Amino acid sequence: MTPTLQQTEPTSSRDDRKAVVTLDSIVKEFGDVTAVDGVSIEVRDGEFFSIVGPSGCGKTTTLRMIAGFERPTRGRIHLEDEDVSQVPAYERDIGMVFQGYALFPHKTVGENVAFGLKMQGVPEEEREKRVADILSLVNLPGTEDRNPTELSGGQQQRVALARALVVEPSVLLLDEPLSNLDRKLREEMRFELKRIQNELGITTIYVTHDQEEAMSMSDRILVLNKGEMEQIGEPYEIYHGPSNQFVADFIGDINALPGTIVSKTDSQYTVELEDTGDEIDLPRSVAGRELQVDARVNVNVRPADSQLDTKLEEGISLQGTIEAINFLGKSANILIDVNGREFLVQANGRTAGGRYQPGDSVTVNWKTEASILLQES
Amino acid sequence: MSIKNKFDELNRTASVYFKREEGRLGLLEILPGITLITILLGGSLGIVLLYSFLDPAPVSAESTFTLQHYREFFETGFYLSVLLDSFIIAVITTAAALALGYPAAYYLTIMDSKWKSLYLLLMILPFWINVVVRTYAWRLILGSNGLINYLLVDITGVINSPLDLLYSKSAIAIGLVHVFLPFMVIPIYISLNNVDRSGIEAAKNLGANKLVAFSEITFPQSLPGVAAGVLLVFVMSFGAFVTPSLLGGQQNIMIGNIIGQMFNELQSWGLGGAISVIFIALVVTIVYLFNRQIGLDELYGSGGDA
Repeated sequence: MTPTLQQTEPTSSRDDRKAVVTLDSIVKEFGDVTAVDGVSIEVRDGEFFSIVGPSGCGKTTTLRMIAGFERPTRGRIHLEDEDVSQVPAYERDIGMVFQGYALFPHKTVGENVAFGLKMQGVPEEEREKRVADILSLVNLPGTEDRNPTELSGGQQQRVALARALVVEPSVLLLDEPLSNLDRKLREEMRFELKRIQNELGITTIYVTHDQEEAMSMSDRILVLNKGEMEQIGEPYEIYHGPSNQFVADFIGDINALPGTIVSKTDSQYTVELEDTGDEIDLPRSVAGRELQVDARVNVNVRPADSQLDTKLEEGISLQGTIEAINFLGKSANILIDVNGREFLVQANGRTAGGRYQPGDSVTVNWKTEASILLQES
Repeated sequence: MSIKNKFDELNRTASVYFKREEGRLGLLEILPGITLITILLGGSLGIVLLYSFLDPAPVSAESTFTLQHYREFFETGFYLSVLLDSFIIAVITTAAALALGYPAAYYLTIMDSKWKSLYLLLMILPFWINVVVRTYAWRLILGSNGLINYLLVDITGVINSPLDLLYSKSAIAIGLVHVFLPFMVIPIYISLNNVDRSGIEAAKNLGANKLVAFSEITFPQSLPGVAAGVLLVFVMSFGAFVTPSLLGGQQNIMIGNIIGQMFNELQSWGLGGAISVIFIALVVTIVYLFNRQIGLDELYGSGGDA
C-alpha cells in the first residue's frame, strides 16, 4: 500500500522554526522483518511531536534509532545539522524516558538524576544544585536521598523525567511513559508533562499507542502502521481529516458505511450505500483526494458528530432501530441497527439520555460536511 | 528453559534467606529441613565438640575433660602452617574462579537466548561426573608422564626433563578451580540476568560509554552474585578433601586431609575433633566478617558512590 501523506501546511509562525530532528527515509530491518519502512519526518524546535500506531507498527524502533540504540538499515538521521546516523548513543545530545523508567536501583534518586551530569564532568557542587532544581521542577523536591524502589510509579516516572532533563538535551524522547500508570494518574501526568515541556521549551518526541493521549498533548502526530507512515498532521486534522481508512479507524471511534461512487460532478460525489441502497450526495471537500466512479468507498462519520431525530438543513438521514443505550452522564452512547450494520451515536446525555428505549425507531442524522469520504482500504 | 527456572528458583530461595524474611508460613515450610539439619548436623557436630575436650576419645570409662588437644594444635606449628596453606590455596582458588567465572557469566547473560539453555547445561554437566574421576583426569594432564610434559618434552622438546607440575599447591588450586567454577558462575549469572537492560541503555543515553555503563550500572548490581559465588567457592575449597589428596601428594595437604587422617588413620579423635572445631570456628568468623563487610542484605537497598 502506498501511503498518502498529508503534510501540515505551514500555517503558524511555529513552523518557521528550524528542524531539530530529521529522519530521512529511515528503514530498519530485523532479519526478514521490516520494522520501519521509509519514515521521513522533521521535528521542529520546541515542538511536541507524537508517533502513534498499534503495537508492532515500528514506533518504538523509530524512537530507539533516534536515541542511537538501533542503527537504521538505510536512511539518515540528523540532529540539528549533524548527521548522527553512525554516532553512538552516548555521544548524542538526546534525553530519553523509558517505558519501565529504567532507574538505577542501586543508586539513590539524587545519584540517578546526577548521573548524566557526572558523565559530563560537572563539578559536584553544581551537580547538587542542578539536581535539586530539576527535582523541584518535577514536584519532587528534597527526595535526593530516597531509594527509587521506595517511590510510587508516578514518582519514579518524575525521577526518570528529571534524570533525562537535567543534562539539558536538545531533544527529549518519551517511550510510552504513562502506560504503567493507572488512569487517573495518567491524566494528571499528561498535564504535568505538557507543563514541563512548555516551561523548558524542549523539542519532544513522544511514542504512544494511546491516540487520545497523543492528541491531548501534541503539536503534530505521525500515524505509523506496519512500519509505514500513514499520515502526519495536527491533532485536529488527523481526527477530522484522516487521509485513509486506517487513520480514521485508529484515531478515535468512527462509523464506516461502505458504498460505491455512482457518479460525480465538479462539486460533488454521489455514493450508493451498500446497506440501505440510499444514494447520498457529498461535496468534494469531504474526500481527501480525487475518487473515481465505481470506486469502493466508506462514508465515515464520528459518533460525536452524529445526532438522533434532528432536522438539519444540509444533512444526511438514515433510518434505524436502537439496539442498546449506554448512559455515561454527560453523554450517552446509543447503538443503532441501520439495516444490519451497527452505528454508534454519541448523543448529549441530558437531551437523549432518558428519551429513548432499545427497540425505538429513530432517524440518524449528521451534517453533510461532517462526513469523511475515504477509499476502501 | 527448565534449568534457568531452577536457578531462578534457587536464587529466590537464597534471597529470601539472605533477607531473613521469616514469615510464619516460611518458618513452617523450612521446619522439616531445619529439624533434619539440627538432628543430623547438630548431633554429629556435638559429638565432635565433645570429643575435642575428652581424653581419651571416644567416650570410655577413663575419659576426662581436657584442653590438651587444643594446646597440642597451637603448640605444634605444623597444624597452623597447614591451616595457613589451606587458607592461601582457598583464596587463590576463589580469586581464579572469580577471574574466570565472571566473564563466563557475563557472556552467558548477553548471549543469544537460543543457545543459552545449552550453555547452562554444559556449565553444570561436570556435576554429573564423579569428582574423583574428574580430579584423576588432572593427574593425567599434570603428571610427569602427563599430557603437558609429553607435549613439552617428547613432542616439541622445549625442555629436557619433565616439570614437577603434579603434587604441588598449584595443582591443588587448578583442580579446585575446575571443580568449583560452576558455583562461581551460576550466582553471578543470576545476578547479571536480573540487571534491567534498559537501565544500561539509560546510562548510555546519559553519556556513559560501554565501559562506564558496565562499571557504574551492571557491575554494582552483580555484586550480590559475586559475593555469593566468592563465599561458596571459598568455603568449599578451604575445606576441600578429595582434590588435595589426589593432586597434592604427601607434601601438600590441606586442613581437611589432616582432619581425615586424625579420624581415619591415627584414631586421634580428640585432636581431630579439636582441629575440626577450630576450623569451623574460623570459617564461621570469616563468613561473618565477609558478610558484615560486604553487607549482602544491603547490596540491593543502598546506593554506591555518586
